[in-house]
Amino acid sequence: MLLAPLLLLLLLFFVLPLAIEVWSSLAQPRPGLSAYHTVFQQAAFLRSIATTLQIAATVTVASAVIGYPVAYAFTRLRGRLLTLMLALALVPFWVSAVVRSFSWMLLLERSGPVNGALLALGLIGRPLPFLYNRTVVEVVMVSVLLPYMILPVYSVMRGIDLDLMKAAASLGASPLQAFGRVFLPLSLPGVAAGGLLVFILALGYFVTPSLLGGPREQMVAVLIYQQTQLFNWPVAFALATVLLVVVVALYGLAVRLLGLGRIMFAQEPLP
Amino acid sequence: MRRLDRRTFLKGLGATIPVFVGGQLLEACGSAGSSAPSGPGGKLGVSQLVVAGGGGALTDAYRRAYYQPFTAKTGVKILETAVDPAKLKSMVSSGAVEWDVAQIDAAAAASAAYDGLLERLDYRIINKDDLLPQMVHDAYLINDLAAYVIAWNTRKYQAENAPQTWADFFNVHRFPGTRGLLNTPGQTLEVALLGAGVDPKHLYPLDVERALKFLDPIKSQLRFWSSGAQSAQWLIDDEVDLGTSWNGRLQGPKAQGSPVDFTFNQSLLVADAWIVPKGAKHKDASMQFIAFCMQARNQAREAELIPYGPTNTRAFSYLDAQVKASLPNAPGHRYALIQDFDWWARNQDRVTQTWNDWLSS
Repeated sequence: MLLAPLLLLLLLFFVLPLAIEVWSSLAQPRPGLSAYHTVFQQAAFLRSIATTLQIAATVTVASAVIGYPVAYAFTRLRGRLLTLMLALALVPFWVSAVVRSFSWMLLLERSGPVNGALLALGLIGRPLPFLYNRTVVEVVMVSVLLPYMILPVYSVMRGIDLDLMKAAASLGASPLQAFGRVFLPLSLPGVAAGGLLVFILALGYFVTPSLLGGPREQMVAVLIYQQTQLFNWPVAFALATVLLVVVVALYGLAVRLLGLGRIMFAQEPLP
Repeated sequence: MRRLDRRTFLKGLGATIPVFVGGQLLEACGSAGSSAPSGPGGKLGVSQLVVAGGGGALTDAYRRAYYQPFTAKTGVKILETAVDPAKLKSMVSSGAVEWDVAQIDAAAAASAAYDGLLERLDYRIINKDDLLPQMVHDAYLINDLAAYVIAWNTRKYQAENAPQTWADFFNVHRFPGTRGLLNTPGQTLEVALLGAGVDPKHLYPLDVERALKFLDPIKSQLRFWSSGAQSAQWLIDDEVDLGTSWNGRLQGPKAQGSPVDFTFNQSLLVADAWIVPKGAKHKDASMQFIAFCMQARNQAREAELIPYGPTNTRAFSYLDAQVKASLPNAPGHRYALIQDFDWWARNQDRVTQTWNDWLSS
């Protein structure tokens, strides 16, 4: 009963619009798959889908590699320092995507402070083109999405009984072995949960690739927007549906492999 | 889409506003009792109109040149909202049309007209006698012209040795380095063809293949901007070696001493248009509003506030030499041509797909 208002809200403002969107992609401009035909016939759309998946995958892996040690370090902190570090980890949430993208632009442009410093130090002869390529898009996305990785990983790590590490040591394991065979496996559900979140969020990125990317970083969301502006809605619907199918499939796969409990709550250890 | 930086623009604007508003109020009093609608609500029978616009400096100018004087004259309040082509389509197809009138990029207006999203304009109410003929269309009416121009950083080039034609602009031997272009096929393909030497008179139908073949060898030197603000910033910050922008975007920074300059030579004129969404609720009042905005006097006011050229030929007689010199279609400016908005409406989907394929390859 307590859930009823929430369920109604989700049904009306989330499930229903999505259903209309999927239905429209099949009904317009004429019933059938003609919009999907356009999407899958067009090299630019296919490239964009591939680019989007590649960028999302890179961002997810990078977030895990950077986020894991950070989350581990957090488990060693207590009290005010922990509060401060957690707050700092959340800072990216407080700045709008547009503002953030423009600040990166100012920082990394040809006449920006980074190039200025490198030139002044004599490390480079002329300004480096940092902007408008895939690397900068990925770096900025990682900087934004990192908290989605750190928090689930941290919450799982906190639940790990550190006595297990001592037990491993008493049985003759080196610290590295204890970590690799005890702590790491126990913390992986957090990485899976964080990874899924980061990947799915990354798939829908719009502002960062459109402001900081070059022509080859046209992610699907950018093309969806372009098509809506051209009154070409069926194609936009079809592109959005393709993205939705990828997300649902991935989610289904994760649930299948890891179990719903681990993905949603990042708590149960792996078998 | 193409607005001056809001701050820059407002600074330059301060002194002029009271004069215009004051002048308009006087005129409104003087014309009471004439054939024009007058008094609160007046003959228009509505208390307010919802007008969608692009926002920023352009809407600031519109507010002073059109909205406030219209309210002063008729008593009809203008409610401003943001324009968006996708919203136009969803409003019309769902039958919930909030806007009475909208100001929109002319290419989008032509496309919306082509898709049947617009009311026909009533030229019994809107006087088209003094309007440039290419401006008048069944469902959209062009009310100002902006120029897509060749621009450069003045620390790098002086006006004498700067590129003056699109052939110069795309010549990477004479002018090495990167160049900034708009990230849409519209405008970019036109100037590429001009650069390739196509006669402006025979530009349409655009030879898309030829344009892309021309750009291909220098593709790695092209940078594509997605907003007018970005185009100006790139030039001022020396992010690109040569650039393009809209004249209204550069005029302010240039006047304020930023190291940027441009030429109207061979510029491509683009435009803003008035439209009435299909199913708009106060059609007659909307037509009256557009008729008011198209009057020479009011268009001249817009041109004084933001350097976009009037489409009412009589507007120029109200303008002094300095303002005239800032307008894309002023006598003496050698612009190349006005964009063919209807061609784009018919060919947009196909050309955009070819463009996307080329861009992403």
